[in-house]
Amino acid sequence: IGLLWSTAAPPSYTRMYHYFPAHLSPHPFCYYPPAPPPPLPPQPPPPQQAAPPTLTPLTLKQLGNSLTSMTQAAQLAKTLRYAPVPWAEKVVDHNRKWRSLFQNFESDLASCTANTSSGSTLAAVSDSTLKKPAKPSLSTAQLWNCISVYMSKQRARAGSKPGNYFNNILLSLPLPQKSPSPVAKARTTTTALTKLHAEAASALDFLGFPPRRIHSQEALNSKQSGLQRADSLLSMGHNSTRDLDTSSLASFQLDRSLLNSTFNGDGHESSTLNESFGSMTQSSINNNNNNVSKHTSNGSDCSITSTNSSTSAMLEQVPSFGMASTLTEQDVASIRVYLEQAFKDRHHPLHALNERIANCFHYSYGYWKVKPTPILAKQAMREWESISRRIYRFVRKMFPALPEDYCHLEGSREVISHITLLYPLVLSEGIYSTLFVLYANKYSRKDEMYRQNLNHAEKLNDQELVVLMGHESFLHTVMLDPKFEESVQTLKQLQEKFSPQDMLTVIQRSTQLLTEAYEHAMSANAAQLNADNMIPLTMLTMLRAAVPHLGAELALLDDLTGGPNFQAEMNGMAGYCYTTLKAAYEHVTLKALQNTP
Amino acid sequence: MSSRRSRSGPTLNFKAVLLGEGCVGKTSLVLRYMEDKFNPQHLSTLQASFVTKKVTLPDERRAQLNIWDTAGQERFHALGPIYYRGSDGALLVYDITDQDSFQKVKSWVRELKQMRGTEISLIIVGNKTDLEEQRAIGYEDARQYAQTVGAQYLEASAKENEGVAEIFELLTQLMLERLSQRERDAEPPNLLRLDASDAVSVSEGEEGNGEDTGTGQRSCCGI
Repeated sequence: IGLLWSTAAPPSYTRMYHYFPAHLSPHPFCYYPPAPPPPLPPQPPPPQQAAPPTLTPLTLKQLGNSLTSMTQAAQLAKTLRYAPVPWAEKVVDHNRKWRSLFQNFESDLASCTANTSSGSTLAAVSDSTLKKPAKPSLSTAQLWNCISVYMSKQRARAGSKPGNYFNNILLSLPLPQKSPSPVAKARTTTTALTKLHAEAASALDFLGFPPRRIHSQEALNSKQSGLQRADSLLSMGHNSTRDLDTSSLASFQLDRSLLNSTFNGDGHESSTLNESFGSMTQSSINNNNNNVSKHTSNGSDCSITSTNSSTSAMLEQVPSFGMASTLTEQDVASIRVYLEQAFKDRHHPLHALNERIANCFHYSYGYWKVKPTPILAKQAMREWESISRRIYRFVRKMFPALPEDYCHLEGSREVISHITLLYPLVLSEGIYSTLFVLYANKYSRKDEMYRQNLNHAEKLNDQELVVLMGHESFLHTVMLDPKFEESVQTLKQLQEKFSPQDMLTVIQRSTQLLTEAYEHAMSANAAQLNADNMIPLTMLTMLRAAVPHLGAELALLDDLTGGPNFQAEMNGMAGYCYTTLKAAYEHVTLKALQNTP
Repeated sequence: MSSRRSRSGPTLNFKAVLLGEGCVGKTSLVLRYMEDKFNPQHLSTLQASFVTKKVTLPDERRAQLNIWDTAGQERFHALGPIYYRGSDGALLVYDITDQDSFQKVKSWVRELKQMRGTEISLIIVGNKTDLEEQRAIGYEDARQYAQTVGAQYLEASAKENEGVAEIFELLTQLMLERLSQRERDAEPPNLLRLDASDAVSVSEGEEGNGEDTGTGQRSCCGI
């Protein structure tokens, strides 16, 4: 019966199938909204519309062998139930749609401190966040704590690989075999080592507690000599562990008597080792000025980064920039570098967040086996902007100095906002291409005309092209200038760029080269390039550069820079160059070139 | 609210387009103004088609004036809307010896009124007053026409450098008036004061800005 009902489903159910691909189980992080309004007038079918049995064979034929998925689609449609509101009023609330993803992310982050911690303060923090997972509101310090714990856990998970995390920790910690006690050195077993791993992990979590970490960084900043010593020890520990001797260990200022006393147990290694580490941790927690704890916590982190890359060392410390209430140019530069590293490092929570978003976005908008629907382009763009704002809100919790909406940096025209900070990082190839497919579809008609005109222009030489376009013939001499070719090559790079800022830079650079070409070619009559000649020249550059789907690129760029915080840029030179290119595109796509006599 | 903040950044940002038939001297006007008023090293590399100038307003505010040249050829007429989208002002230039160019200005005015309504400040400029003996459009006729469409009327000669600077000063002033008018309409009085204060004292720095955003702004997408 269910089958009958489903096969008799009116056409709108079939459309439904495109929005909710039944072969996909709903993504766990996604809220699946009701479908956006279809272009047709509303036709809410009442559920009691029974299936006329005569229809069955026809629809069965149409269905082919995808019957199971069709049934699922029908069930999905049934469970979704048509609300009394007509289709046209159903607008997807993108806040609701992406809320669960961000909430899951934040509670994941918050709860990851819960399991590892045995410290009282830490437990209290994670308890409070666990109790209300729907609204984890962390302070900046707590957030950084969560991030550091999250990262160390991620590393632990990847720890089975060679050159892993805990080996490095052990290397930088005073190892039993390198300890002053020869007895312990002799009798170290693998079981003891594995226990050590666990102990070291918990010790690190302890040390990763943010107030301590922040404090430790301050201490490090103030005590340069101490840092250097730790560094030298570190490099030793990492590169040549075998040479690590007791004298370098002594620089830890570790309480020798403590070590000696704990390592002297001959018979039961494992328990004494645990004890020794326990007391070590304890002592480091208790004594704020104890250099051992600071250097071990920082040191162990550093040794990891040296296995990855030296630049990502930045991720291992709670940054000192972007925390104050003022924002300087230096802060912004540091935040940029930090974020760049964070989105790249697969252990960092931001990287995980970005991956989740890219997946969900792709499932929402890019996962059709049919042609993408151009009406979704606008919705997807709005959703994307809201996503970016949400990420920015998270980043703002990490760096409270960042402005809530946007601001101008003092003394420069640079705008700091979620667009300028995040788009170059988050607008990844995946998301850009998903958006781009939608836009390419939306602008397919113009781009088809553009493509045909490109094909036609390709067959012509420069002289013929100038004549065909109806431009004045002296522009031909400009095309012969080497700068013109350079300008064409620059414009070609447009297809490789994803972030709006980069795209605008490419366009502006290309236009500037074009201006130089004109000035060079026209130097005899000292003519200035005005708009009368600028537009024809831009057309020629555009036709020679032959950027595919330029219309979609330009429209997408326009929408990405639509916000008010890009206004200064779009009113300025970059905006003028963009507008000229856009005007050239519009003019070229007005009519087919081959039909022009 | 966002648009308000964008205007009250370090500099106010204005965009003005130059419209008019080819050969009426749009480019000459801009170049003449640039020659006189600009330090040559501040010339942008897109010399004649896009110029930008920082001006200091009477009330100590700084403003950036971006002047966009457009193509005058008739076959590019359809591209106009792409250029004047989002602009704050328009200079409509015609040649006082050429009746056709004045008709062209009238068609631009109609189009701008239709597309941009009252959001745009219009100045009609009669150029080439040095060719007074060949004048085809009388000063009074042009001025009256400008009055009926709510535009300002000025005459200038790019060749003799008469009245050129006045055009751009008036343009800046008009756009500024329109901006503050819009702010008055859009904002409650207390917010306007706040706005004015942080626009004037640019050097006050980010701290003031941060506090402002913290208290006065709503979150853009809520929870």
